[in-house]
Amino acid sequence: MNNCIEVKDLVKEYKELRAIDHLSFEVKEGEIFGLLGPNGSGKSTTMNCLLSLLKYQEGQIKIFGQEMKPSAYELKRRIGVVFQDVAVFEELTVYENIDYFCGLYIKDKETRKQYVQDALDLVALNDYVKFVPKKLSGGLLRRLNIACGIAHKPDLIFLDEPTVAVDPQSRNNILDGILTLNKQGAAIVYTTHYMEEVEIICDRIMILDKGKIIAQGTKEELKNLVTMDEKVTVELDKDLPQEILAQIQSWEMVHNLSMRDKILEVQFKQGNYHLSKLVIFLKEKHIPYHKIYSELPTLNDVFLELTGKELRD
Amino acid sequence: MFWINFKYTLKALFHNKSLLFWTYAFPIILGMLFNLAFQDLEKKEARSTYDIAIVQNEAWQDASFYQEAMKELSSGDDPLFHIEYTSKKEANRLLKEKNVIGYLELQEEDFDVFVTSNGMEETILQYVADELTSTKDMIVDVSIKEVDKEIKKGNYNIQAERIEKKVREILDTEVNLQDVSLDNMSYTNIEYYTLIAMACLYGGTISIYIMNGISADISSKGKRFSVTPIKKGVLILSSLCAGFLTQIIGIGALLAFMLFMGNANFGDSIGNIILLSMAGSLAGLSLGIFVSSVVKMNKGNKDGLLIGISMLCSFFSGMMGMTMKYIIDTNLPILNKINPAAMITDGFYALYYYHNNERFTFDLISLLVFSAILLTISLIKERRVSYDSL
Ligand SMILES: Nc1ncnc2c1ncn2[C@@H]1O[C@H](COP(=O)(O)OP(=O)(O)OP(=O)(O)O)[C@@H](O)[C@H]1O
Ligand SMILES: [Mg+2]
Repeated sequence: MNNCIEVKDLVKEYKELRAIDHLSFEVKEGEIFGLLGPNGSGKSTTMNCLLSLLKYQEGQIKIFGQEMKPSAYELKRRIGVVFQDVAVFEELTVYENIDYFCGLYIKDKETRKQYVQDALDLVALNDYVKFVPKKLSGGLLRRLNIACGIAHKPDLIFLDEPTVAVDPQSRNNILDGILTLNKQGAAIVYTTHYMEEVEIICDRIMILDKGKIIAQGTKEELKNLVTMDEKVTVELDKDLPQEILAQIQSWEMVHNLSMRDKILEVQFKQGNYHLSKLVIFLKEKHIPYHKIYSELPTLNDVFLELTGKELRD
Repeated sequence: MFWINFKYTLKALFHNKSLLFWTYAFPIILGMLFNLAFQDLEKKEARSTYDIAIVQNEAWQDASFYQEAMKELSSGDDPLFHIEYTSKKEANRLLKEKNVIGYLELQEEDFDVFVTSNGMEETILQYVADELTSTKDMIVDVSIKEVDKEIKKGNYNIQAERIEKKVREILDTEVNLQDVSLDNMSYTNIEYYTLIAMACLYGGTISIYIMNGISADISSKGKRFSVTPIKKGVLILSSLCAGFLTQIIGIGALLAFMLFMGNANFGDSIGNIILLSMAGSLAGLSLGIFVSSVVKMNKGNKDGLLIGISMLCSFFSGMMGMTMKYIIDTNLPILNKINPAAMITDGFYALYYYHNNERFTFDLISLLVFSAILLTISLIKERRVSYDSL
């Protein structure tokens, strides 16, 4: 498969701060590429550099094999962008806003009408075409923002945290919409700090922290990066004494463990029968528990292990 | 792409209430205030005859042209001046005792104007003196050219009659000194001229609104525009057209208000006024685009800056009394040569006061050149930009 984005050694500095530090990555045609990172890690900066909105100090950016620059109008025609901040005209209705921005790409009236309708269907805003943005709820406004960015049916779509501060219903609608666009053939660069979303929709993921790539790959590849293989959580009556914890910690297959607010979390390395071993141990020591369950590692665990801090704020 | 942007920019402009207030309602409200304030004044002072003195020195005795002209201005049913011909000493005394608003003393070819204050009346005296001097220069100029022509033709037997006829023709068509009636130069009209100039410059707020919407470093909408395949120049020009239409409708409303409710008397030059307002609007919009693209400030400050510039330009062009325009015209002419508001008011003076078509055309062209320069600089600056920071 061809690459639709190729970035080599991108460096972007704001006055004092190096926001992007030697970033190199590729996005393949037809895939959903997740750009995951905490607040301030440089996701928006990366995106704005890719779009030639920002000047950068070093690096090469190619989109569909061509160099991206402010005057690359033919490239821009194939790109759709949904910015982090809502960017619509307060004075115009939902329909007019979509038609306006679509009209900057699509000249033919009939085609445009169809495209605007498709965009309305995608974000399910058909009941609101005559509304002005001020009358829309936060979630609906975000959906309008998306519709304005993708109505012209681009081959490559950038979305910068489109689900921040949205109700679950709008969130699901947005994620479904993105999957639909991808099925129709568009490659997607999806920026977020919600790892759950990335796990649901992305084919490949790049994790950023402080402008540097921490890891990239499919989610399976990323999870293989961590030593932990399984996490067992036990809800107890009271915190366990130090000596018991030390005993568990001394087992060979235990990677790490924590005891907080009557909740015991044990991270196991690769292996079998972890859960039953723990259950038997608790029984032998006559320690009662309410609930016990096992989970596979999440991207948050990956981030935690690679950076030593939580992905969420 | 040009037209869809034009269409929706126009729509957005017409739905923006605060913008409409400043460009449509505000000048009309000011106009009403002017009208109220000056109506009384006008009743009292309009059509009055001004007392002036002229020093009877040697230069004056020889200046038959000036004598003729002054005779014209001080005779008839409704003369502009009542003239006292006296000695310099006497003239000084009359001025000190406020028996005259000022006196003229001819030095060689030019008038010296003596006044004690700088009010409307004194300004009129200054204008008339200037006007007489330049008219005379023109006549001398024409005479010399005519003589030259005859000589070049090999005709050394110069026909004085023909030259005189030529001069009279020019005097009749280009310089209507008899017409320095002040019908169109009433307080109200003069204020209206600067008000139109100000309204034109206020149109710059429309440009700033437009530029805010399409600049990536100012609004997220601007980012969106910057990633579309439409060229920045096309985008600006198409939005400018929408702004122009919006602005022209506003100025139209203002003119209609002045004519039908505000006691304005624009005579039969309404076509020229519309032309002048259009050029003025373009200048105002261009100024707004220029300020937007050259000055790095946040949204609110840009509006403030533009309104400040508009006010200052209007002030220099005579908004608070045409004395200001006169003072600048004589002492710092360059300032009003590049002041779009002064170009507009000067256009009006050319129409109504000087009856000078050439001057009017010059003002019109100045406005267009002013706009073209500012637009060109802005467009060059806005072309294909990436930003250091957003
Ligand atoms: N215009 C700017 N001037 C200076 N520093 C900036 C500017 N914009 C961003 N930064 C800094 O660059 C870093 C990366 O910012 P960026 O907005 O790209 O992060 P992000 O990953 O998009 O964060 P968020 O999740 O909050 O949107 C941050 O430390 C931020 O403070
Ligand atoms: Mg961001």
